[in-house]
Amino acid sequence: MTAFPTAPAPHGPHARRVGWVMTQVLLALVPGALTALAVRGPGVAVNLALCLGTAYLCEAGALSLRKRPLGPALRDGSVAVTGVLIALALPPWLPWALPVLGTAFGVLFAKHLYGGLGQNPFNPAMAAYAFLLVSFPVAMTRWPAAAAAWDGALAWKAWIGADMAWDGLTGATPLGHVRTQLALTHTLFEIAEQGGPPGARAGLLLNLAYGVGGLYLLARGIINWRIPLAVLGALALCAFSFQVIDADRYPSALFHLTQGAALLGAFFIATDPVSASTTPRGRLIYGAGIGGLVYLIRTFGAYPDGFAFAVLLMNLAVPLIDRLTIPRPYGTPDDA
Amino acid sequence: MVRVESARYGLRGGLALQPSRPEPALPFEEAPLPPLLILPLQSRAGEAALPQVQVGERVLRGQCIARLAGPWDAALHASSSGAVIAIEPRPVALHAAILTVPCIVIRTDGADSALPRLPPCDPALMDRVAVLKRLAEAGVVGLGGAVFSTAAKLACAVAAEVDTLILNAAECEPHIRCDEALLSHQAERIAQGARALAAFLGKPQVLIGLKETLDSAPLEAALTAVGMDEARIVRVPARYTAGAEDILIRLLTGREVPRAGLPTDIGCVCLNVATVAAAGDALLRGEPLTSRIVTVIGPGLARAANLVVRLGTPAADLTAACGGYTDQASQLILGGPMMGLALPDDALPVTKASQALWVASAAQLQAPQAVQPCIRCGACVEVCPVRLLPQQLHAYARSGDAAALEAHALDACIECGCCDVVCPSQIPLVQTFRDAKTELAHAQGQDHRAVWLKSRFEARAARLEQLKTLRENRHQSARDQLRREDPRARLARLKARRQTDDTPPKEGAP
Ligand code: SF4
Ligand code: SF4
Repeated sequence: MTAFPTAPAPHGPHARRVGWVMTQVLLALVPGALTALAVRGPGVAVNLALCLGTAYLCEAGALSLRKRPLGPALRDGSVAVTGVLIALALPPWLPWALPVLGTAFGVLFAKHLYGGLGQNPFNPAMAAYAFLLVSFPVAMTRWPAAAAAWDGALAWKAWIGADMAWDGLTGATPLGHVRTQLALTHTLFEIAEQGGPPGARAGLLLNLAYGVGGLYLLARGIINWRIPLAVLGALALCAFSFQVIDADRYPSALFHLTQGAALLGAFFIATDPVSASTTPRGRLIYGAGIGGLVYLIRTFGAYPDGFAFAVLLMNLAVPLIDRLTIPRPYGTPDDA
Repeated sequence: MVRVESARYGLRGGLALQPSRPEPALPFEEAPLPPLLILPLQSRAGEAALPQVQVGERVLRGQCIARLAGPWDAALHASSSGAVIAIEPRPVALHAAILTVPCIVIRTDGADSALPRLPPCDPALMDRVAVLKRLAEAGVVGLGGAVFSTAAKLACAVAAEVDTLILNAAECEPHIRCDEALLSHQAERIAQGARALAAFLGKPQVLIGLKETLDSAPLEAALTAVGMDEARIVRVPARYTAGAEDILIRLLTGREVPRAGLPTDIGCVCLNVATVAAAGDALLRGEPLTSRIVTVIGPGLARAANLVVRLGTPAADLTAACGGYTDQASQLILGGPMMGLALPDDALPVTKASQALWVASAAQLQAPQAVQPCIRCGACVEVCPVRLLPQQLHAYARSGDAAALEAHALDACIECGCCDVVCPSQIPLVQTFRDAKTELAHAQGQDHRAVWLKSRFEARAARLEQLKTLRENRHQSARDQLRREDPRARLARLKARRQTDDTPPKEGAP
């Protein structure tokens, strides 16, 4: 007789681990991060370093305060993803304290106060971004003009928070530019005649880079198609409908899909599993809600882009969405 | 011509665990007669069968050695000739657990002498009660792992007047390839059994769910040979859980078995092809069930094979027949990687429920990992074949919220394990669900018992009523049939039957 060790079923195959999944997400962000560095200058790298460092420090601090083992949580990479997403969402000319403050807020308040990984109702990266935007609206909308992006001296002054006049060195983002021009009763046609919004090419490039990363995640089965498709679909549908109504005042779907945080948001932010809906139909609703809100905020709201607020608002709705979209289990009549 | 078509309805969730192309065939042979046979008196939860033999008594192959009280309960037979040396409790693999239950132990004498076969009991000629009795007496049970009495299942099907007979040839776990051997080497047994059962059920539509990577030609030929041209072979994806009864029914017919119900509620009865072959043997050849095909496979063995195994053969004799263990052997698993049961040793016997013996290497097994919190990634939701929300179930099971578990349909979980193996946080989901089900049943113990007693009483009354109707119908239907039938067709049928009876039984060696 030969004896064998036993274990409960299932016996295989090997599952993916959280750490592997997060590594893939980080990998998929590489093209986007490199493009951001190229078009926005050295500030992107500084933000990345500050956010990542703060994220890890805060995670370790929170875990030891909560008396949890450090190893597994630090190794699973989820906090790195949060840090990187915050960094990529921030403008490059920020006093150094802001990325630190924002990340600390995201990790400590939005994540650990609710019980850590898997428990947070709000997307920590977007909570951090919204916190900074509301508290430091001026610094948070200071985007360098294309010519000044790689100016080291200016960047340095920005990081140390030097008191100086930034006018003339900064430029609006394409979304912001269109918004201001429309507010001055220019038409889109006139804007296009003047060569289009400055920085539109860079914005397009950046979005394409995030799109490539997103397709990689889809192809590897890391994220599901439902949320990104619903976000982009709803955004495009809204843009298209309004453009049909008045093409002079409402930019095209293509413009909306390739500017601002569109693809970064659809593929990397809205898909944060913890704070998103988990039912198949719920994900479509959740994604469509984000896409629709982004459009509304961009078009009628007080901010040029609205991913953070759209995601946070839909996070609020997740418990309700989940409850209303429980799939019908096999063998249950429709009305049950 | 038998129609071969692809499944009309979609498969939800599940996992692609198998190669999408046909695998090289395994050798198909008879396992050597073991010195010792261990036959458990219990095959599923419930009462143990009553021994019909005593210690020291000589038994012949096919001799009934134990039976249960119910009229449709399957009997147990000696699977070879020899002497009963003990009737004692021994550990056996029963319903996803190792339990110690009374077993009859037979020391074989090597002669393998058999009892004379019973006369045929062709459903085309005999009444339904006789057919059901024969199936129970011959010990025919579901060989797809459920080991539910086939007579009881068919009695239900008759009472519900089902319109569809489904043959399950969609085995979908890796390493389980016993039906594959049956289909390519003994397709005529399946066809004969299918014809007999179709006649018994009053000519329902016959659908055969065949895994798409298996060759349909032998079965097509066999079905045509027995005149079952109207049967349809439906190719189903080689994807895990396609072969689960409820899932296959939906895949083939679009109907869903009600949550607290049975396939007969929606007009279907579903039998594994091996069960159908065994039923055919019992009815047309008068042979009780004493052997089954078991796939013996894995990198932990010198070679792999599909073996025709006498019931009660210890696992060790089968691994020895496959050249013994290699140094890669790391676990001995009865069944496949998803639902198989890890055996603590190889002295445990093969039962009617055993489909495969898989000697796994460490590389094939999931190494134990630290469990992390659920990140709500939804991977489990995507793969659940019955559309549950495993992550919600898990949360409610942990907080012990019985009402929420009920609302999220824990009872519909088929414990397939798909959610478990895709979870990046390594949460033991299936284990949690099994425990929660047990606990719920326990908590509702009091009212459950009352309900159970009531249902038993009602079932008995229904059974008696059923028997009465069947008896009343039998003469009438036989007369009707003879009257309806064209005299020439009748002659042809009788001739055909004589031929079937003359063909030597093909049990065993190909
Ligand atoms: S697969 Fe695991 S981690 Fe993902 S939602 Fe399901 S239970 Fe949670
Ligand atoms: S074990 Fe249950 S919950 Fe998990 S996938 Fe299978 S049926 Fe769904």
